[in-house]
Amino acid sequence: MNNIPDNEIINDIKAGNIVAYNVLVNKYKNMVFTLAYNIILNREDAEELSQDVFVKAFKSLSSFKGDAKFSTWLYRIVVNTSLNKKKLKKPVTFLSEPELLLKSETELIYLLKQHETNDIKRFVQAAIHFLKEDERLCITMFYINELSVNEINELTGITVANVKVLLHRGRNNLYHHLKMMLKKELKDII
Amino acid sequence: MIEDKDLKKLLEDYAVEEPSINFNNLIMQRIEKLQQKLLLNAQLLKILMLVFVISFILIMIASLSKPIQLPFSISIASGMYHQLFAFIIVFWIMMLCNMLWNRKYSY
Repeated sequence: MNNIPDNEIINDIKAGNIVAYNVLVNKYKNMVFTLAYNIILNREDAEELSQDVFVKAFKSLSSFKGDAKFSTWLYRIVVNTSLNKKKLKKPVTFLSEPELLLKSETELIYLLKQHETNDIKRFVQAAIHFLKEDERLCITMFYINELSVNEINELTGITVANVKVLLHRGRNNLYHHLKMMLKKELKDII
Repeated sequence: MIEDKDLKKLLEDYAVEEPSINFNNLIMQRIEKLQQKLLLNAQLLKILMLVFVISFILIMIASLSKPIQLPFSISIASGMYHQLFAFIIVFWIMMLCNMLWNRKYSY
């Protein structure tokens, strides 16, 4: 069912089959929830907001012409609704020289893989939450929601150059936080 | 680049959050309620339009025939009558603008 193209499902819904909307909800709920959660950092609020997003998207489905991807259109609603909820201004960006990449990234990922799945999940999620808001937003949209740099620019208003810098810095900070947490964990074990 | 792919895999595997189990049900319930409300609104709108058209036709027919003597009389001052007329015109213009605005800025 998940292999049906979005446009076909949307046409089906527009024709009156509202049950087909469940397929779209199923397909995008994790991505929508993750993006909302990484913006507002509160599980209950993110869940409520994700529901609102899907209801809003359903209401506006008639205005969706299919020029853009449905996912991009949906993520735009998530970003706007989340930022409105948080009553944030546009994310503040800082332009500075990117830090050098940590040399032990591959080694770090290898070390992480040694841990149990739940532990890795805990580490990764905590490391993401340590990131600055704009870095977290860019990392989530780029790696999890699979949006391009241009799409992130279009959805958030952050310039393409700044998105690239934020991704670079976010990546470094993510590795840095993961490394710190692993070191702490190892110390605790020893 | 390899590190980037590894990071992507790591985030896809471990950073994707899941909402509660009854997430889908809650959304579908809300959507069904919304759909019912929209259907009801559409029906009400149809009835209102029908009443409006029928009233218009009846008034037109009545105006062609002999003036009807109503059992009561309402005397509206001419200034007030103009104000009332202007209000109705402005109200419907604003209503139309609001509808167009909402349609333009909906997602």
